[in-house]
Amino acid sequence: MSLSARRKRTNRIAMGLATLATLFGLFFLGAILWTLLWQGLGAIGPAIFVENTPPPGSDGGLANALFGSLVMTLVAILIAAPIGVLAGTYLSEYARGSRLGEAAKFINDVLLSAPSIIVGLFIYAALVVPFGHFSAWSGAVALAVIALPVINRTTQDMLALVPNALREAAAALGAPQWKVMVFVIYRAARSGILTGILLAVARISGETAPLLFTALNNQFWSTDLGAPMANLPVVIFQFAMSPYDDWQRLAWGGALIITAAILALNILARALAGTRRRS
Amino acid sequence: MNMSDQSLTENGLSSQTPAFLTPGPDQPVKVRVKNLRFTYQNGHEALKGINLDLRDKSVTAFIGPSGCGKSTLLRVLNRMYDLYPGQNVSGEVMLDGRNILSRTEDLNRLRATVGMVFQKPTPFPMSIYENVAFGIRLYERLSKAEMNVRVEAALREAAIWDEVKDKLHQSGLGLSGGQQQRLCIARAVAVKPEVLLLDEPASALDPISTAKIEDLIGTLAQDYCIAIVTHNMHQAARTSQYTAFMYLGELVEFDETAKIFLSPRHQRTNDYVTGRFG
Repeated sequence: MSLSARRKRTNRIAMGLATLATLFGLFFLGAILWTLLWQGLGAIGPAIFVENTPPPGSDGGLANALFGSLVMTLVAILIAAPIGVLAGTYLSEYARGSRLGEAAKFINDVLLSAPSIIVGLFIYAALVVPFGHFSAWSGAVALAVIALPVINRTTQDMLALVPNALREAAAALGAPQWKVMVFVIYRAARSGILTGILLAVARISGETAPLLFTALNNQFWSTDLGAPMANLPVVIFQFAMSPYDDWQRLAWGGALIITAAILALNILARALAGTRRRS
Repeated sequence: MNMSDQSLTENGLSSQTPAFLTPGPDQPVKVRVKNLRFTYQNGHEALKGINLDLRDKSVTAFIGPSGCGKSTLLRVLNRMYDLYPGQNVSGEVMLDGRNILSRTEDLNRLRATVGMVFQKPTPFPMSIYENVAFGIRLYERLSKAEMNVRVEAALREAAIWDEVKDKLHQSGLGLSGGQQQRLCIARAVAVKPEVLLLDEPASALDPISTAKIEDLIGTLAQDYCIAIVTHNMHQAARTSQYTAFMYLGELVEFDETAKIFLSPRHQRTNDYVTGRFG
């Protein structure tokens, strides 16, 4: 067999295997989405957005859980985003090469992959036990602890992408370092940092384990952050495991809503990242 | 067109007699560099005792092979090296009689006085107008009308006003490379510096943009003390009154540009400007 024919055959085999692997991965993604749509669409209706979680055997919706997830995610991001962006700024701009900086970067990367159940247990011990009861606050803090390393890391990465020439150019005009950061470098990295925050929102909006130990759940409508609060992941967990058909149907609906929301966030993040490349 | 112009590319500078710029009568010394030594963090000594004067309202060109220390020298003059840790400098750099290497020097003020333009155009990610206004706002509080006047004046000074006056509020990143570089020059002159450092300002640009930048340097030299680093012999010959030839961290020869190019005292300078080495 000639050399070129052999190369062509090798190429076809490699291409074939790569395509198979892709199809294999996509098949499961497609299957999950299909099942979600199939089972979940039936549960989606006006009621799911306006009625609270019902006792078994009666009609209801997920309004309290949707509200709880929304509030706790929002509070978590309000806590995590400023700290994460500032910490990322410090590690990328001010602590470059220093021992403290390198150690903090390493620990942050460890946190990035810490199992979320550990974070839940940690907040349980740190907040729930001392206060004596589950609360939405502790749920939000647990979610913040998970979002923090994500935002910190993406901020570092996005700032590292800003060319040094830009820092020098701004400094060369006589700008003090904080003005260089705030008015030039953040502006250059803005869409990237925002993308990181959105991805962190997507990450925490589906977390179940940390909320089991902190916010727990609530059958009723509650806006008290000091008390247990319903939330989608825990409701899905509880309802999906139950033997009741109507609860299971609601769990499918909730799963579909979360998936759609995360998909929308990811698309938004991609669109934002796209605007950066164009500008 | 006469014959000597056409022979320019074939025989280099020596075959014809370009009109060298002559130094103005007795311009005062603006920057005096005395026994300047500079060591990078890795221990590499990039400047080994440099002595030279930069005169006001003149262009001084720095030439020499890569790694000879000319960019390093420029980055000492506005203490850009201070942005990075572990670099060591000794000697004196007197700006109007004040040693800017002193510990007490206000670096932000210094950099507002000694402006710098870099090899790659570095417009900020903001509008053309804001690019220029950014530096002015650092040290001056102006009304909207006064700011408009200053921005226009700076853009005119950098010979780019006519090209951007209808799109002042569009992003500076949308300009061509040559326009971006002139925008950077406008940004640098907008803060009214006294010294301008140009670090290979045209090496990333096409010939037409380069010609515009060189014209601009000639105009700016009427008002500023200019130091330009260039790898282009012709550019050094065309734009400067004084030329410094550096090699391996030392100043080999420093004189009026015509002398450096027509009758250098050192063999190495001669070899370099005639293209036999470097």
